[in-house]
Amino acid sequence: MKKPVEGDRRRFLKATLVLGAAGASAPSLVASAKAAETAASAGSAATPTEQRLRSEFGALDGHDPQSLAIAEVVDPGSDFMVDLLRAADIPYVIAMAGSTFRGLHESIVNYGGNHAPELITCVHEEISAAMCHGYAKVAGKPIACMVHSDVGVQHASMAIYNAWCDRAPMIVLVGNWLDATKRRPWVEWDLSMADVGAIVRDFVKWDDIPVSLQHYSESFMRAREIAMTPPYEPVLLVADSGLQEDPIADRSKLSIPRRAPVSPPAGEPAEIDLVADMLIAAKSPVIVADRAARTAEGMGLVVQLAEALNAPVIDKGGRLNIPTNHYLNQTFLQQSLLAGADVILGLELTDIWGVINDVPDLPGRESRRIVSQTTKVIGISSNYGFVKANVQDIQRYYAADITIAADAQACLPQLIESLNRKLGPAQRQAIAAKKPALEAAFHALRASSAADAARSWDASPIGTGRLCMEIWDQIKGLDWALVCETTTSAWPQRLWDITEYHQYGGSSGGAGVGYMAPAAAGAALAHRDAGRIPVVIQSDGDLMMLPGTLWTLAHHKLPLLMVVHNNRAWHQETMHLQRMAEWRNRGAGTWAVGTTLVDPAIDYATVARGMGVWAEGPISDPAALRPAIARALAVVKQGEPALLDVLTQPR
Amino acid sequence: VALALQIAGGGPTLADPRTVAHGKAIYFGVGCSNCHGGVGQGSILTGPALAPLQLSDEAVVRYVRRPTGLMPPFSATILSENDLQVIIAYLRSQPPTRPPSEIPLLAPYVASSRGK
Repeated sequence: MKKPVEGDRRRFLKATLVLGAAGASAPSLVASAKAAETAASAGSAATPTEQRLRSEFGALDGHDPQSLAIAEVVDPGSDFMVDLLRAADIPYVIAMAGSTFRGLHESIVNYGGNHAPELITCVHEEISAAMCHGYAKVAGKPIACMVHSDVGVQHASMAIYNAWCDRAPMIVLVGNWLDATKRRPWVEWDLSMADVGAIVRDFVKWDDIPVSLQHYSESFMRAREIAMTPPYEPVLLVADSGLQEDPIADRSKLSIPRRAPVSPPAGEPAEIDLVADMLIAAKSPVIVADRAARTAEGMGLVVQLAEALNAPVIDKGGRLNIPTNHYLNQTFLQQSLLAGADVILGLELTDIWGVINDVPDLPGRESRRIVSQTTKVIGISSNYGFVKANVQDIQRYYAADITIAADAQACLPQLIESLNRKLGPAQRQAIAAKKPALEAAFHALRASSAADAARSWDASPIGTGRLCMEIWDQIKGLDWALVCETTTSAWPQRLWDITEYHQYGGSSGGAGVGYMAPAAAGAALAHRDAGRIPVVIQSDGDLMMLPGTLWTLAHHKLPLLMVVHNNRAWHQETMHLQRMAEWRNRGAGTWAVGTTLVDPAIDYATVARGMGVWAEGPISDPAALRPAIARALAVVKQGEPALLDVLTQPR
Repeated sequence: VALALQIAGGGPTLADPRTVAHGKAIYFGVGCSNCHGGVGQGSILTGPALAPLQLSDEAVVRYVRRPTGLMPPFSATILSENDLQVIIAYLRSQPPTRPPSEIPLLAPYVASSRGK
């Protein structure tokens, strides 16, 4: 092993020149040469020459390049970082290339053989982070994205914020030169920060700047376990560029801590018994769940709890908390159920105030309570014990009757056991007697939803009910998953049989537009490994934020059926602008200014094909939809992404 | 917020096609379609169904001018009486909704409501 030496940059340049002169024979080099040739033929960057390198990187200060010895760096620190990724079971690292993590990039590819972890290439750091978000919700574990110092963190920040609000784990690895004396002039100073984690510290759970490899090792394992201790959240770790590139001084002094999963916080038994007593005493208890189920087992527990009480469940949709075809899933009777509830049990709600109250979008914004004044409210959430001051996803304060700072899923076995222990025969009989009415209400609700879908069945642009039901009809016999919530009129939740936890990916969390496409790509990565067919009903405005996601889908052959719900607008904003104008009694018809995606209308199929994705559209005839979906699904079944651009009704 | 104030009843009217076409243009132009959908189908997220229109013309006018729910008011300054009338004509011209029982992809849901 060689010691770190000065002038390493010059040696790199020399090595580059020598390699270029010697030619390439290894397969990877052949591939690189082909890529360079392709780029050159397309009129982009030319193959580097000594003269070009000199002009780009500066003169060699009078040194003769031929006199500089090539220093081989053996056992670089970034190889150890790859060992850590493996030890932490991180199968993928997602990145857009950046020089501050070139050491780790190279180690993943060459030392690690680009397998477990495999590098997934993106064209924007926001895509990288959002893919981590989407992956984690399917696989139930974090992967990592590598981002390029301050510029990369700033690009990634929106997606990190969504993951924060959505309680999704990911590890953000940031390349950054900490040692100022090692930074090259200009660009490496601009691409360095003294405290790069500060950019996103308000919405990551923990961050650190390790100054040694052993420090990095321990912080890496700590970061992973913090991310995976409820509430799950993103974490950030700086992978100092010097630590990546310098040789390891003494491997024998380095160690990798074992993983130490942390049990989630559960409630005090006495408090759980109080909750059980309140629920048993209730005549009309209602369960409201948002991110209660962290796993398939968690969804099963929510169902057990609901069935033990015959209590209807309102699923707020952060995760799938109860199958959509279960008679106790009465989400779309929310208004009447809450109005009639005498006890409301909130499970992992970020906004319990917003369940009990409302602020109608009317001038003056007067808030109003929408449940009875006598209704008892119970809140169980790990969020009570973990908040940040600046971001406001803490929501408005509500003084519940019982508040438990614990992970809801971890509490459910205790609560179910307590109910089973306390319920007497007469109480069980009374609970069982509720079932026929609840079943009737559920089926009436579904019939009503079907009638709603029929209203625009033959419309063109295509009704969103028709769109969703045509998709459902062709995927329901497959091993499928809907990877994101839709901006349709909630048709999948109303009419699809979503029965498995992994079949529904939930919302963005932070409502940051641009989530859907890359999160769907991340979910598709996890579903590909599980052999499933993922589907996203992709909002057009969202797709325009990060259309480069399409290239990643094609490049990595991620099977995904992307059906663009193309209403040619940021439709929510059309309605906002319209409300403003009408309240002010002016400008009728100006709602389209700045809120619509027309003149020119965007041809998403052409955009997709340009990035290597099979695509058709725009489709506006409802009769043409069914065969188009069949053709697209055939492509996805072959392991490729496919996009259908469908012109749709607004919602 | 439902416009469930008065029920006029009846199927689509046979208005002058030019009136209907003009009504459609106004319906889209002033943004009724944004919340109520292009064919008046409505959405649980944004606004109730308007077709088939089950209110009297007078009830529609009254509500549009002075809504009691979340819908913003449309005064005569921004929506003339004539334009409002042709919008009503457009909505009344909409063909009856096909029953879900006659649509193969929706029929099973209707059957399930009957306890099958």
